[in-house]
Amino acid sequence: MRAYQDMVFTTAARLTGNAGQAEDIAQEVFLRAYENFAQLRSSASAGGWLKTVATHLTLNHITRYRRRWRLFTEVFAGEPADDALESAAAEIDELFAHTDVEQRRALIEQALERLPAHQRVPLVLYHFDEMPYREIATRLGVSLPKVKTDILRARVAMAALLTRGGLEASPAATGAQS
Amino acid sequence: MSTPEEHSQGRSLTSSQDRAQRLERLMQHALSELPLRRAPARLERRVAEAIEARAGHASRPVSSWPDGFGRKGIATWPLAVRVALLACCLASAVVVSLGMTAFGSFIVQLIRLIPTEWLVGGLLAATALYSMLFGLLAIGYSTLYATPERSRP
Repeated sequence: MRAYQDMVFTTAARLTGNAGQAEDIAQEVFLRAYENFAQLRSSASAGGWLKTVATHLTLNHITRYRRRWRLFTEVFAGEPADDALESAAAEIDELFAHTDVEQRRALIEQALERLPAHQRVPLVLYHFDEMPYREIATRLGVSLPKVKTDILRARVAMAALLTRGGLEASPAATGAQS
Repeated sequence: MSTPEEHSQGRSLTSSQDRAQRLERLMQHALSELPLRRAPARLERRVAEAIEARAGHASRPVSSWPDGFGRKGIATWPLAVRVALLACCLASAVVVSLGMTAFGSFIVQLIRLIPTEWLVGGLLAATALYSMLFGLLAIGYSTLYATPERSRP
Protein backbone atom coordinates (compact mmCIF):
# COMPACT_ATOMS: atom_id res chain seq x y z
CA MET A 1 0.00 0.00 0.00
CA ARG A 2 2.82 2.39 0.87
CA ALA A 3 4.22 2.07 -2.64
CA TYR A 4 0.96 3.19 -4.26
CA GLN A 5 -0.82 5.40 -1.74
CA ASP A 6 0.60 8.66 -3.11
CA MET A 7 -0.37 7.72 -6.67
CA VAL A 8 -3.92 6.73 -5.66
CA PHE A 9 -4.38 9.81 -3.49
CA THR A 10 -2.99 12.12 -6.21
CA THR A 11 -5.31 10.64 -8.84
CA ALA A 12 -8.36 11.27 -6.66
CA ALA A 13 -7.19 14.65 -5.35
CA ARG A 14 -6.50 16.13 -8.78
CA LEU A 15 -9.87 15.00 -10.14
CA THR A 16 -11.94 16.09 -7.14
CA GLY A 17 -9.87 19.14 -6.17
CA ASN A 18 -10.59 18.22 -2.56
CA ALA A 19 -8.12 16.44 -0.26
CA GLY A 20 -10.81 15.19 2.14
CA GLN A 21 -12.85 13.54 -0.60
CA ALA A 22 -9.67 12.17 -2.14
CA GLU A 23 -8.76 10.51 1.15
CA ASP A 24 -12.16 8.81 1.35
CA ILE A 25 -11.84 7.61 -2.23
CA ALA A 26 -8.28 6.38 -1.66
CA GLN A 27 -9.50 4.40 1.34
CA GLU A 28 -12.22 2.76 -0.77
CA VAL A 29 -9.67 1.94 -3.50
CA PHE A 30 -7.42 0.14 -1.01
CA LEU A 31 -10.37 -1.72 0.48
CA ARG A 32 -11.19 -3.00 -3.00
CA ALA A 33 -7.54 -3.92 -3.45
CA TYR A 34 -7.70 -5.85 -0.17
CA GLU A 35 -10.74 -7.75 -1.44
CA ASN A 36 -8.78 -8.66 -4.60
CA PHE A 37 -5.50 -9.17 -2.80
CA ALA A 38 -5.05 -12.75 -4.05
CA GLN A 39 -5.08 -11.61 -7.68
CA LEU A 40 -3.10 -8.43 -7.15
CA ARG A 41 -0.32 -9.91 -5.02
CA SER A 42 1.24 -11.75 -7.93
CA SER A 43 0.20 -9.25 -10.62
CA ALA A 44 2.77 -6.98 -12.24
CA SER A 45 0.02 -4.52 -13.15
CA ALA A 46 -1.18 -3.81 -9.60
CA GLY A 47 -0.29 -0.14 -10.04
CA GLY A 48 -2.35 0.09 -13.22
CA TRP A 49 -5.26 -1.67 -11.54
CA LEU A 50 -5.16 0.75 -8.61
CA LYS A 51 -4.95 3.75 -10.93
CA THR A 52 -7.92 2.54 -12.98
CA VAL A 53 -10.03 1.85 -9.90
CA ALA A 54 -9.07 5.22 -8.38
CA THR A 55 -10.08 7.05 -11.57
CA HIS A 56 -13.30 5.06 -11.89
CA LEU A 57 -14.39 5.61 -8.28
CA THR A 58 -13.53 9.30 -8.43
CA LEU A 59 -15.48 9.84 -11.64
CA ASN A 60 -18.44 8.00 -10.10
CA HIS A 61 -18.19 10.25 -7.06
CA ILE A 62 -18.00 13.41 -9.16
CA THR A 63 -20.71 12.55 -11.67
CA ARG A 64 -23.18 11.36 -9.02
CA TYR A 65 -24.49 14.86 -8.36
CA ARG A 66 -23.35 16.55 -11.53
CA ARG A 67 -26.26 15.78 -13.85
CA ARG A 68 -28.34 18.47 -12.17
CA TRP A 69 -26.20 21.27 -13.51
CA ARG A 70 -25.03 19.70 -16.74
CA LEU A 71 -27.81 21.43 -18.67
CA PHE A 72 -26.56 24.86 -17.62
CA THR A 73 -22.92 24.18 -18.45
CA GLU A 74 -24.02 22.88 -21.89
CA VAL A 75 -26.05 26.02 -22.50
CA PHE A 76 -23.37 28.50 -21.46
CA ALA A 77 -20.38 26.72 -23.04
CA GLY A 78 -18.48 28.60 -25.77
CA GLU A 79 -15.06 28.80 -27.37
CA PRO A 80 -12.65 31.27 -25.76
CA ALA A 81 -11.56 34.16 -27.96
CA ASP A 82 -8.21 34.19 -29.77
CA ASP A 83 -7.00 37.02 -27.55
CA ALA A 84 -7.70 34.94 -24.46
CA LEU A 85 -5.62 32.06 -25.88
CA GLU A 86 -2.76 34.40 -26.71
CA SER A 87 -2.73 36.08 -23.30
CA ALA A 88 -3.05 32.71 -21.53
CA ALA A 89 0.03 31.43 -23.32
CA ALA A 90 1.88 34.65 -22.46
CA GLU A 91 0.86 34.31 -18.80
CA ILE A 92 2.27 30.78 -18.64
CA ASP A 93 5.48 31.96 -20.30
CA GLU A 94 5.71 34.68 -17.63
CA LEU A 95 5.16 32.12 -14.92
CA PHE A 96 8.05 29.99 -16.17
CA ALA A 97 10.27 33.04 -16.45
CA HIS A 98 9.63 34.44 -12.97
CA THR A 99 9.15 31.46 -10.65
CA ASP A 100 11.27 28.54 -9.55
CA VAL A 101 10.12 24.93 -9.82
CA GLU A 102 8.85 24.65 -6.24
CA GLN A 103 6.82 27.87 -6.48
CA ARG A 104 5.36 26.79 -9.79
CA ARG A 105 4.31 23.39 -8.47
CA ALA A 106 2.51 24.96 -5.52
CA LEU A 107 0.79 27.51 -7.77
CA ILE A 108 -0.30 24.89 -10.29
CA GLU A 109 -1.75 22.61 -7.57
CA GLN A 110 -3.65 25.57 -6.11
CA ALA A 111 -4.94 26.62 -9.52
CA LEU A 112 -6.11 23.07 -10.27
CA GLU A 113 -8.09 23.00 -7.04
CA ARG A 114 -9.74 26.32 -7.85
CA LEU A 115 -10.93 25.32 -11.31
CA PRO A 116 -14.63 24.46 -11.55
CA ALA A 117 -15.22 20.70 -11.69
CA HIS A 118 -16.55 20.68 -15.27
CA GLN A 119 -13.23 22.17 -16.44
CA ARG A 120 -10.83 20.48 -14.02
CA VAL A 121 -12.01 16.90 -14.61
CA PRO A 122 -11.54 16.79 -18.41
CA LEU A 123 -8.27 18.76 -18.11
CA VAL A 124 -6.85 16.26 -15.61
CA LEU A 125 -8.03 13.26 -17.63
CA TYR A 126 -6.46 14.72 -20.78
CA HIS A 127 -3.13 15.95 -19.42
CA PHE A 128 -2.41 13.55 -16.55
CA ASP A 129 -4.16 10.35 -17.65
CA GLU A 130 -3.51 10.97 -21.36
CA MET A 131 -7.09 10.00 -22.12
CA PRO A 132 -8.26 10.93 -25.65
CA TYR A 133 -11.08 13.47 -26.08
CA ARG A 134 -13.57 10.87 -27.25
CA GLU A 135 -12.99 8.61 -24.27
CA ILE A 136 -13.32 11.56 -21.88
CA ALA A 137 -16.63 12.44 -23.52
CA THR A 138 -17.83 8.86 -23.11
CA ARG A 139 -16.68 8.59 -19.50
CA LEU A 140 -18.28 11.89 -18.52
CA GLY A 141 -21.43 11.35 -20.60
CA VAL A 142 -21.09 14.66 -22.44
CA SER A 143 -20.62 15.61 -26.09
CA LEU A 144 -17.21 15.66 -27.77
CA PRO A 145 -17.37 19.42 -28.63
CA LYS A 146 -18.16 20.19 -24.98
CA VAL A 147 -15.11 18.24 -23.79
CA LYS A 148 -12.85 20.10 -26.22
CA THR A 149 -14.29 23.47 -25.25
CA ASP A 150 -14.12 22.73 -21.53
CA ILE A 151 -10.46 21.70 -21.77
CA LEU A 152 -9.59 24.80 -23.79
CA ARG A 153 -11.42 27.04 -21.32
CA ALA A 154 -9.77 25.20 -18.44
CA ARG A 155 -6.33 26.02 -19.86
CA VAL A 156 -7.24 29.69 -20.19
CA ALA A 157 -8.72 29.73 -16.66
CA MET A 158 -5.62 27.95 -15.31
CA ALA A 159 -3.37 30.59 -16.83
CA ALA A 160 -5.43 33.36 -15.21
CA LEU A 161 -5.41 31.57 -11.86
CA LEU A 162 -1.67 31.00 -12.08
CA THR A 163 -1.06 34.69 -12.73
CA ARG A 164 -3.39 35.70 -9.89
CA GLY A 165 -1.81 33.11 -7.57
CA GLY A 166 1.67 34.33 -8.49
CA LEU A 167 0.71 37.91 -7.67
CA GLU A 168 -0.86 36.89 -4.35
CA ALA A 169 2.18 34.79 -3.48
CA SER A 170 4.62 37.61 -4.04
CA PRO A 171 3.00 40.92 -2.98
CA ALA A 172 6.42 42.32 -2.16
CA ALA A 173 7.57 41.77 -5.70
CA THR A 174 4.51 43.46 -7.18
CA GLY A 175 4.84 46.28 -4.68
CA ALA A 176 8.46 46.76 -5.68
CA GLN A 177 7.50 46.83 -9.37
CA SER A 178 4.84 49.49 -8.80
CA MET B 1 -9.86 29.23 -56.27
CA SER B 2 -10.62 30.67 -52.88
CA THR B 3 -11.89 34.20 -52.48
CA PRO B 4 -9.87 36.68 -50.35
CA GLU B 5 -12.52 36.39 -47.62
CA GLU B 6 -12.21 32.58 -47.56
CA HIS B 7 -8.45 32.82 -47.56
CA SER B 8 -8.58 35.26 -44.66
CA GLN B 9 -11.00 33.02 -42.77
CA GLY B 10 -8.76 29.98 -43.33
CA ARG B 11 -5.70 31.87 -42.11
CA SER B 12 -7.57 33.08 -39.06
CA LEU B 13 -8.68 29.51 -38.28
CA THR B 14 -5.12 28.22 -38.61
CA SER B 15 -3.86 31.00 -36.42
CA SER B 16 -6.50 30.19 -33.81
CA GLN B 17 -5.56 26.51 -33.91
CA ASP B 18 -1.87 27.43 -33.59
CA ARG B 19 -2.61 29.48 -30.50
CA ALA B 20 -4.67 26.66 -28.99
CA GLN B 21 -1.91 24.15 -29.72
CA ARG B 22 0.75 26.41 -28.24
CA LEU B 23 -1.32 26.81 -25.09
CA GLU B 24 -1.80 23.02 -24.93
CA ARG B 25 1.97 22.42 -25.20
CA LEU B 26 2.72 25.00 -22.50
CA MET B 27 0.08 23.55 -20.19
CA GLN B 28 1.34 20.01 -20.76
CA HIS B 29 4.84 21.19 -19.91
CA ALA B 30 3.65 22.96 -16.75
CA LEU B 31 1.56 20.03 -15.55
CA SER B 32 4.24 17.46 -16.32
CA GLU B 33 6.47 19.13 -13.70
CA LEU B 34 4.08 18.20 -10.91
CA PRO B 35 5.20 15.39 -8.63
CA LEU B 36 2.74 13.05 -6.90
CA ARG B 37 0.97 14.56 -3.92
CA ARG B 38 1.79 12.99 -0.59
CA ALA B 39 -1.07 10.94 0.84
CA PRO B 40 -2.04 11.86 4.43
CA ALA B 41 -0.17 9.85 7.04
CA ARG B 42 -3.46 8.67 8.56
CA LEU B 43 -4.62 6.99 5.33
CA GLU B 44 -2.87 3.71 6.12
CA ARG B 45 -4.39 3.58 9.60
CA ARG B 46 -7.84 4.43 8.22
CA VAL B 47 -7.63 1.60 5.69
CA ALA B 48 -6.49 -0.87 8.37
CA GLU B 49 -9.38 0.17 10.64
CA ALA B 50 -11.88 -0.13 7.80
CA ILE B 51 -10.60 -3.63 6.97
CA GLU B 52 -10.91 -4.66 10.62
CA ALA B 53 -14.40 -3.19 10.83
CA ARG B 54 -15.50 -5.09 7.73
CA ALA B 55 -13.93 -8.32 9.00
CA GLY B 56 -15.75 -7.89 12.33
CA HIS B 57 -19.02 -7.23 10.54
CA ALA B 58 -18.60 -10.31 8.32
CA SER B 59 -17.86 -12.64 11.24
CA ARG B 60 -21.01 -11.55 13.12
CA PRO B 61 -23.97 -13.95 12.67
CA VAL B 62 -26.60 -12.66 10.26
CA SER B 63 -29.42 -13.64 12.60
CA SER B 64 -29.66 -13.02 16.33
CA TRP B 65 -31.73 -16.20 16.71
CA PRO B 66 -29.97 -19.04 18.55
CA ASP B 67 -27.89 -21.46 16.53
CA GLY B 68 -28.37 -19.61 13.26
CA PHE B 69 -32.08 -20.55 13.29
CA GLY B 70 -33.09 -17.76 10.91
CA ARG B 71 -30.60 -18.83 8.25
CA LYS B 72 -31.91 -22.41 8.01
CA GLY B 73 -34.71 -23.49 5.66
CA ILE B 74 -38.32 -23.70 6.88
CA ALA B 75 -38.22 -27.51 6.59
CA THR B 76 -35.75 -27.65 9.49
CA TRP B 77 -37.82 -25.40 11.80
CA PRO B 78 -39.60 -26.91 14.84
CA LEU B 79 -43.15 -28.13 14.10
CA ALA B 80 -44.77 -25.63 16.51
CA VAL B 81 -43.06 -22.69 14.78
CA ARG B 82 -44.11 -23.96 11.35
CA VAL B 83 -47.75 -24.36 12.46
CA ALA B 84 -47.73 -20.89 14.04
CA LEU B 85 -46.31 -19.37 10.85
CA LEU B 86 -48.96 -21.12 8.74
CA ALA B 87 -51.74 -19.87 11.06
CA CYS B 88 -50.37 -16.32 10.86
CA CYS B 89 -50.25 -16.49 7.07
CA LEU B 90 -53.84 -17.77 6.81
CA ALA B 91 -55.12 -15.14 9.25
CA SER B 92 -53.32 -12.40 7.29
CA ALA B 93 -54.83 -13.65 4.02
CA VAL B 94 -58.37 -13.67 5.50
CA VAL B 95 -57.98 -10.16 6.96
CA VAL B 96 -56.56 -8.78 3.70
CA SER B 97 -59.33 -10.35 1.54
CA LEU B 98 -62.09 -9.10 3.89
CA GLY B 99 -60.53 -5.66 3.91
CA MET B 100 -60.25 -5.62 0.12
CA THR B 101 -63.91 -6.62 -0.28
CA ALA B 102 -65.07 -3.90 2.11
CA PHE B 103 -62.84 -1.32 0.45
CA GLY B 104 -64.08 -2.39 -3.01
CA SER B 105 -67.74 -2.00 -2.06
CA PHE B 106 -66.96 1.40 -0.51
CA ILE B 107 -65.31 2.55 -3.73
CA VAL B 108 -68.27 1.30 -5.83
CA GLN B 109 -70.72 3.23 -3.61
CA LEU B 110 -68.53 6.32 -3.81
CA ILE B 111 -68.41 6.14 -7.62
CA ARG B 112 -72.21 5.85 -7.77
CA LEU B 113 -72.53 9.02 -5.75
CA ILE B 114 -70.35 11.02 -8.18
CA PRO B 115 -72.13 12.40 -11.30
CA THR B 116 -71.01 10.77 -14.58
CA GLU B 117 -69.92 14.12 -16.05
CA TRP B 118 -67.55 14.66 -13.15
CA LEU B 119 -66.05 11.21 -13.58
CA VAL B 120 -65.50 11.68 -17.33
CA GLY B 121 -64.09 15.18 -16.77
CA GLY B 122 -61.77 13.90 -14.04
CA LEU B 123 -60.53 11.08 -16.24
CA LEU B 124 -59.88 13.47 -19.13
CA ALA B 125 -58.05 15.91 -16.84
CA ALA B 126 -55.94 13.09 -15.37
CA THR B 127 -55.07 11.86 -18.88
CA ALA B 128 -54.09 15.38 -19.97
CA LEU B 129 -51.95 15.94 -16.88
CA TYR B 130 -50.28 12.54 -17.29
CA SER B 131 -49.51 13.26 -20.96
CA MET B 132 -48.06 16.64 -20.00
CA LEU B 133 -45.90 15.09 -17.28
CA PHE B 134 -44.73 12.36 -19.67
CA GLY B 135 -43.81 14.97 -22.29
CA LEU B 136 -41.89 17.06 -19.77
CA LEU B 137 -40.00 14.00 -18.50
CA ALA B 138 -39.15 12.98 -22.08
CA ILE B 139 -37.81 16.48 -22.85
CA GLY B 140 -35.87 16.55 -19.60
CA TYR B 141 -34.38 13.13 -20.22
CA SER B 142 -33.31 13.92 -23.78
CA THR B 143 -31.75 17.21 -22.61
CA LEU B 144 -29.91 15.86 -19.58
CA TYR B 145 -29.00 12.29 -20.49
CA ALA B 146 -29.01 11.77 -24.25
CA THR B 147 -25.65 12.54 -25.86
CA PRO B 148 -26.13 15.32 -28.42
CA GLU B 149 -23.83 13.52 -30.89
CA ARG B 150 -26.23 10.60 -31.14
CA SER B 151 -29.03 12.80 -32.36
CA ARG B 152 -26.89 14.33 -35.08
CA PRO B 153 -26.95 12.86 -38.61
